[in-house]
Amino acid sequence: MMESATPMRERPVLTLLAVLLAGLFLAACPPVEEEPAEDPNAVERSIGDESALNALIADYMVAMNSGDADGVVASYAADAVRMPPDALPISGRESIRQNIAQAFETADLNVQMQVIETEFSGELAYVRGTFLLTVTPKDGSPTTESEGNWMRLMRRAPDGRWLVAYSLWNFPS
Amino acid sequence: MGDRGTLRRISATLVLSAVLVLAAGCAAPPVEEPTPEVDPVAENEAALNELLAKYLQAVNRGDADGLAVLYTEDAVRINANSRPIEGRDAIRLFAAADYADNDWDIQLHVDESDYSGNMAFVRGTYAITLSSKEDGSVVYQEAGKWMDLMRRGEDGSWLIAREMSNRDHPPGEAPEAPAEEG
Repeated sequence: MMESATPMRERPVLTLLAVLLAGLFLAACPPVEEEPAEDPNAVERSIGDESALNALIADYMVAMNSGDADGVVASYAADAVRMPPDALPISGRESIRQNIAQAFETADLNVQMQVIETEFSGELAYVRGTFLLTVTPKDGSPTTESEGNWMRLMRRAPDGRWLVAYSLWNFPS
Repeated sequence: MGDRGTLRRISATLVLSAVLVLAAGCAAPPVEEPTPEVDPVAENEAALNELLAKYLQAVNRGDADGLAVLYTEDAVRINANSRPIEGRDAIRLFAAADYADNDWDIQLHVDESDYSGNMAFVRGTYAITLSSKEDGSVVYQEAGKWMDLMRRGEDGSWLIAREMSNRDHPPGEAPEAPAEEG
């Protein structure tokens, strides 16, 4: 219908107009937002977070193995919950600190922790691993060795630090 | 002249159409999707409660299949005083063995739950009572703590990906008698 109303010699003008409009359409559209996974910094951030969590566990082991209760709770959130086997849960960093300080009064501990997996989701991270615990009672009782599994939920604090939200471990027997 | 006028009208129509296309084509994608307004926290908690209800039902009926389907294919279950059990099939086999001789009664309580994207973290307490299938006598009781990592499947339901628990008292101590407290 339109073709019949438009002389042949003027068709190139329409074609040009169409091309220009198509160009305008493409230029005017904002670029499609990239998927978060394509963020080139995401991988680096994830690696940074993972090494931060590994560093926390290394610090935790140093503190445990030197009887430093303050150091042990340094990576715990103020409202953290610690869930040891064969004991009721302990809530709050100060209560946890006192509980650990009491344990250090009766025994020297050595704990070796290995990380099996770490997973991040937003401001939360989950870490799981195994441990080997050596307890040397100060009253001269025999040293005991046991191995087990542990799991932690970490939360990222507003200042960017990762803190233990809750922690649970158990023994296979 | 008449041809000119026609061309002008066509051009004007094209420009108008282009503007409309531009407005529609550019504005549409960034605009938030017209999803129904749902409170995501309430939705998550409802889905979690549904999962826990199914969990209770499966354990209390001794239904190993019903329990296993609540776990992801690659789930890891590390229960109190047990080696890690890896994978849904292994979880089903162990549960079937658990339920062979005894009836289980389990109670769960959620103390804390966190949601982030398609992951959820939940912790709480449990109490279990095992009764002999032969004479109904109570053969074992235990109370303890648990924490789960859950993942949201494509259908929006939550599945257990990691589960870990431990008991509150060493064996031999009655779980309901923390005598020193009180």
